[in-house]
Amino acid sequence: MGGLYLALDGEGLFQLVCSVCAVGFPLLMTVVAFFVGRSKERRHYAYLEQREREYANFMVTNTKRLPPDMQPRHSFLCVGAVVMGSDNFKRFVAGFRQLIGGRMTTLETVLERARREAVIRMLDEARGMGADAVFNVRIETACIGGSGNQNQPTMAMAEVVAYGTGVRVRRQPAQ
Amino acid sequence: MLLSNIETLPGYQILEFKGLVQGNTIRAKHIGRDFMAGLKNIVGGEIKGYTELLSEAREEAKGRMVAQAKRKGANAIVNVRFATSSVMQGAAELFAYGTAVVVEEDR
Repeated sequence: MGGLYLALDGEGLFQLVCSVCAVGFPLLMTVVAFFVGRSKERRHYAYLEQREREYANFMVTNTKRLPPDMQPRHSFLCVGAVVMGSDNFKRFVAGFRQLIGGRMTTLETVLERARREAVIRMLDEARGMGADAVFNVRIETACIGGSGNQNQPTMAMAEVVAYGTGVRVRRQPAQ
Repeated sequence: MLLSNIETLPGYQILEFKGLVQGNTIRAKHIGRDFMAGLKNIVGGEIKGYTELLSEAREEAKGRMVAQAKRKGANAIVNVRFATSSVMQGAAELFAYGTAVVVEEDR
């Protein structure tokens, strides 16, 4: 112990403080990310459930062919996009998973939320333009923000784009 | 300009094909937005700055595709596809392509 005290004068103390900060700050951020990220995720899931119920009766498919009894009057492209990031805690857990393999559940939810959100935004646009149904929905995912540098952790962000053709049907003419 | 990502444009008849049209744009991240995105990425969730940035860029790519279709004398584009690729660190390419056609409303 005496030796340790001796080493802690001036420069030694400075180095100790620096290394505690260097380890402590990311650790603190990971803990903060765990609590904040978890509450954000819960709120987002609740929001998605609610929004998806709104569109429960809306016809959304990824088929190209319209049902034969449908009489289209107008059609247009609808797009919804979102960039979703993971948090420090999720990346920390995923980092461990990378060593031992298996499901990266923490990152699965990030992509799931992003896809559902993108589809809802597409539907918002479709409804805003007066669509009655959306056909040929395509969902595309692009990973952005990954750093090429090995020393820097990647930001693990994904951009999800959902797009489809909104169709407005011909109303029955008044007779 | 009417757009669709099906081979047809429901409610319209295709009279003439004008060929493939495409539009692209490469956007680098904005330094201010980048900083905020870095902070947002600690706690996760949607990164609105990037959502807006990429949506704007996609609109621009779409706009270029539409301009090309107009030059060809088309009034609609069918089978539109979007693609995003990361060309270098901190930059993304947004790409849109489709087939320019001349359509007429169904009667």
